[in-house]
Amino acid sequence: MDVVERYLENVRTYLPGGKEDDLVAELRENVRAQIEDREGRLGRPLSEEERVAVLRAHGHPLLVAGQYRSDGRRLVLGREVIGPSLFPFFRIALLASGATTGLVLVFVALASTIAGGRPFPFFRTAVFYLALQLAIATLVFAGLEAWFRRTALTWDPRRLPATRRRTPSAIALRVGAALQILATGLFLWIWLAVPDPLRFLGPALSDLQPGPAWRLLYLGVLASTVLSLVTPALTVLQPAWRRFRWLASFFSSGVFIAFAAASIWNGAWVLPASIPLDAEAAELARGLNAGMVLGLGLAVVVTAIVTVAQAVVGAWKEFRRPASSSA
Amino acid sequence: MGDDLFENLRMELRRGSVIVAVLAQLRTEHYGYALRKALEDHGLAVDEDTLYPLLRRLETQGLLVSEWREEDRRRKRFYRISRNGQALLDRLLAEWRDINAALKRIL
Repeated sequence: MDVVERYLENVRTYLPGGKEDDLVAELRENVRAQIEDREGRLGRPLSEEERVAVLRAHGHPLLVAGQYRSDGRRLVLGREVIGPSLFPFFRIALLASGATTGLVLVFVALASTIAGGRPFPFFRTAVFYLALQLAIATLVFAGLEAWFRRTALTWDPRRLPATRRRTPSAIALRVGAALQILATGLFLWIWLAVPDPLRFLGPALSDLQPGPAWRLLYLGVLASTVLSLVTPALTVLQPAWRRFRWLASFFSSGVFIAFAAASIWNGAWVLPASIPLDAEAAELARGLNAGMVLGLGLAVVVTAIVTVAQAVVGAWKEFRRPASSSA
Repeated sequence: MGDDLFENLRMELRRGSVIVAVLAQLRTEHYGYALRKALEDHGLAVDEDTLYPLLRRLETQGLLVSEWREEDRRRKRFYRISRNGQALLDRLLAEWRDINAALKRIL
């Protein structure tokens, strides 16, 4: 692909939905006029280096597209930290991650209420995570801003990624989705067959029984797995219809996070089975529960990060999509 | 810090001036690159990534009108100032003249 076209296609990636064709056509004409003007003055065609220099002067595709979204707002903390070109993307990232966090916390609060026990500190947790996201997003975008400034005169349009996307055929999509449904169904069958994992772990754990936290986690995995069937089922029925599919994944992960977090909050996955209480079994249960907090806590954090990232990407694609588009 | 401060203030100073210059230049119809050259020829170089989005913003605000038209067998988007834009430009120029006169007296 010609370096100019590659550049323009990269600009298109970040432009506001519904206006890309018009803006890219105008930009193409302006770049072409500039190249021809320079060629006319030099009396020869521009070398690739010279064409690259013309594009470099236009600015990095992300910044160019950002200018078309900009309302002039920027973040100034003593000095400009995030400029008007990046600020629209910073705002989108904050809104998407904030909304996702809010939804996940609502899930967790609801699941905690259903589970009973200690009340979930919703507002304190929300303020903490929103402040954390604000800090992380500010750092990331301030870093990006600094990087764009430092490389303004040296970045290379030839290194921009090729943006032509190959859409898989409807048959390939259907086959992939059917295999996914099959694998998920197999997992569901096994999961429903094992409501009490301790029975399968042998006589060593015969003094223990599943606690309320295990039942929460069990339900969470079950509900999340059933919800995860929505996306492949939609693909089998309507491979071309791809809007808002990310929402199904988001709810599936959200349900898992909610129940897993509620189960961590409860903390009792296994309990001593014997009455009167056996000290050794109680010690074993304490150790297993502590291990579960660590392991499941890590799983929840990783799933939450992936879910937030997917939600940001999904929201971004919806944001870019023309209003008239239905596929 | 001194350089940063100067750069910030310079940008502030330029931002408004560029808008006035663009509106004034577009009393005659231009397409994007021709406008950029015309401004540059008058001594006001404006970066591409500032000028082209600015044209769209001014159009959205109703200060410019534009149309795609063929010229030299190429389709180009031509911009010119709208009636609202002209009225606003008149007011901005009056303001600018007042500021300029005051600055002259101060300096």
